[in-house]
Amino acid sequence: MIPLRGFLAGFDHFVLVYFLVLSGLYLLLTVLASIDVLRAARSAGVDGQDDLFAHPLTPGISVIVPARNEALSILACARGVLSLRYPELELIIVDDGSTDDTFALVEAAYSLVEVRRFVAGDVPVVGTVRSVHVARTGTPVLVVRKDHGGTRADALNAGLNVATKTIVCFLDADSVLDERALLSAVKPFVDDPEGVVGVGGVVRVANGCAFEAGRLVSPEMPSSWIERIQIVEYLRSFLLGRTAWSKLGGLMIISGAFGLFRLETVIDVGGFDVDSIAEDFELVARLHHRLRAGHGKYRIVCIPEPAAWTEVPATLGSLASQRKRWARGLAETLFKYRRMTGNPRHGVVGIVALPYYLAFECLGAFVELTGSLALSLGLALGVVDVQLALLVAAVAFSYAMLLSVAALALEEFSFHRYPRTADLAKTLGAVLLENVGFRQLHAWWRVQGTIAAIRGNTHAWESPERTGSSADSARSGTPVS
Amino acid sequence: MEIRHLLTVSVLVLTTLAVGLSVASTLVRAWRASAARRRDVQLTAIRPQVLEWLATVDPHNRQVLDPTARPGRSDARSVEELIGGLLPKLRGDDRAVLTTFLERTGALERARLRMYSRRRLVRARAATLVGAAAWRRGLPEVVWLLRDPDPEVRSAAARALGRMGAPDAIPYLLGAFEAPRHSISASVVGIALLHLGPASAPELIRTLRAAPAATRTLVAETLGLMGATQASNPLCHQLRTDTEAEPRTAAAHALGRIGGRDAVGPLVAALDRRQPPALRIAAAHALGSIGDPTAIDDLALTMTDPNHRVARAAARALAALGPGGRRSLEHATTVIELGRPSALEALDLSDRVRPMVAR
Repeated sequence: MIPLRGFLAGFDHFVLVYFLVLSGLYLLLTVLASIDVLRAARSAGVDGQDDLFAHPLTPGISVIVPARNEALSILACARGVLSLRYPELELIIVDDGSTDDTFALVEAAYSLVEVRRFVAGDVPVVGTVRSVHVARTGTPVLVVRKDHGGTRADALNAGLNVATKTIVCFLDADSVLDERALLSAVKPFVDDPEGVVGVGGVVRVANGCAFEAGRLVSPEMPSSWIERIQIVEYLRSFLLGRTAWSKLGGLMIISGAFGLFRLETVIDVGGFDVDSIAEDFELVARLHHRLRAGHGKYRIVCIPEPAAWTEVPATLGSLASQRKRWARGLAETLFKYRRMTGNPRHGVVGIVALPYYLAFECLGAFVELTGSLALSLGLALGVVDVQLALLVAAVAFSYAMLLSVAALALEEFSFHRYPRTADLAKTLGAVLLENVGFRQLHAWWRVQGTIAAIRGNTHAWESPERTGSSADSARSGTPVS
Repeated sequence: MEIRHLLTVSVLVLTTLAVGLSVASTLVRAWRASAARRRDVQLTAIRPQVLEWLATVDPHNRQVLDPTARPGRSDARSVEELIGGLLPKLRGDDRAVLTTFLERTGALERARLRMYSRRRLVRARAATLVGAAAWRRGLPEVVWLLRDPDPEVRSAAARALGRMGAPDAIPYLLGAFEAPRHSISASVVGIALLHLGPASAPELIRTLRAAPAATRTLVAETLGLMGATQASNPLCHQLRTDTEAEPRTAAAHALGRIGGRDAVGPLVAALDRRQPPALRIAAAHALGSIGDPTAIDDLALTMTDPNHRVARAAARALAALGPGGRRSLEHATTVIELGRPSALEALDLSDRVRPMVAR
């Protein structure tokens, strides 16, 4: 009994220190992000976007959309991309062995014609490229049809091999971009052409919003609490987390849903890792690894606005699957680049960002769950003071609430994309719900994903369950207000 | 006891902060909605008057009328805001009329003084207004802001100089571009130079000789975009003799845009495989743009380039060179060593697709 008591007391102290370090780090990230986001919001109107749009030397962008069984959303996505405010872009859709009508829909919509296109082998592709099609009308659409290669990364690499513009933008087929998204995202490349190699955009939740012709017409709250909780998560992750890491020079993730890179740089580092299921994280980690080793000055940054609106899982089952996949990808990538972790030669990435991802993002779920178990056990055995335990839990709960509310407030003070007052009340409700039950469930999924990475289970890329949230509202039945 | 007390205080502080932020968010939302409504009401009342006045005023005698009979302070601000928004969309007499109006209301003088403000956005907005109005009296302040510590302000100042159409600002713009600290991006300076128009070409040509490599690159690109035919010879010289790859590539691009046949010789020489790939690609594109059939043989040879991007550029250029280019492509499809993949691709695009949407 005494060793157990000692162990539980020691573990409690460990959890307390862990919580304090994490809280301090979150506080720092929140302050840094707030400065940057508010600054960006106020700069609207003097950032010269109109000039950028009109300038003939604004770099061209190849928008690469990997699509596997995306019949529900592919046309809305294509229409949205082609109607973006950007002077020179090409849309590359990679049909990764779809078994539904994905290709047929695009073929009919853009009068596709097969061409004998020379596909370079700049980056490796597993699934054989079967054909390349372009729009007979001259619309800058190019479709690559290939055999399913098992991962999303394989489809992205096929797109890289046919891309012709200076910048490549990776976009999910269920995502819709804000009208000015590319103009804003390309600005860091234009302002610092020698330094910036990657730019991540903010991703927001499309569920519940009204879309028309591939454009967002009305941001609205989804009906289910699972989706609303994800709105809070995304705001916290993108507005606070990534913006702050970008400011610190330790941005490790550019979301696969919306990210831009220099084509030449991505090809130089070998494109995406076709074996990875967290290809976005892996690519950024590899860029840091290679570019640091080359002693070159480079920057990977995040812009807080405008955004890509993407469909998020609407059911617990699909959300669990997504989060396990993310956790597994994170663990695998951290293991792959383990020599960078804690290595001062990799600067902020090595000594701050990667240790943070290892200690808090990867192992945090284990600490959270074992902490809860230890607390329950301690309470059952009478080892832990009930009042003290409740107070510690209340501090953790209120701190988590504060962080989420800070993200909401930052959104409100800066971009305020959700116009209805009821929406604000709903997101505040989601903040409460997130910390009661969902958070613990999420920790359990993360543990499962990490364990799957340790066991080395195989995983194939399958398109997540779609509801067509980002498709035109008229088609999906959502009223356009 | 102490730790319990500390934890209780922590819970109270954290909860108060969370509730405070929630309340603040709600209040900000309510205030913003109310302000937007007020502004909409004002602009809805004023916009028709301003537009009507703009449509009827005689620009030649510069009769500037006050669009509001007795404007209150907030009305006057709304009028200035509205006119400030219209200015970038106007040119010539219409812009001059609005500039005179803003001068008389004192808005431009206030903007000039605001360029000394401590707040970066106030400085940037003031420079933008002075630039949009092309108000020459604000030129010294705008030039001064080219050295501002804030990058957004420097960029706003550079854009303002371009809009003011002051060719005498070229040395300042290029100086700001070359500054080791607090420089301005090539894109912003390039746009400003383009706004200055063809009148600035002679000054730009002079800088081709002695400027640093990055400036030579920027100036060459700008001259090409201006279509400055008088720059053809200096650009050919730069293409042949420059010691750096980037200015040479920019010269090749510019010569393609200008379209003079005297550039064909230097461009063909730039197709040589010992030259950097980016230069070979630019030269091939330029030869396609110029459309001189004398380049056909050299472009056909370039289709066998080991770099597939160079080969593709050569094939696309041949497709743009009329029947001779097409014959060359068809011949190449028969022999793999002659660049068959690129030739097939170019022919397919030429036959099956209507002209691609291009800038």
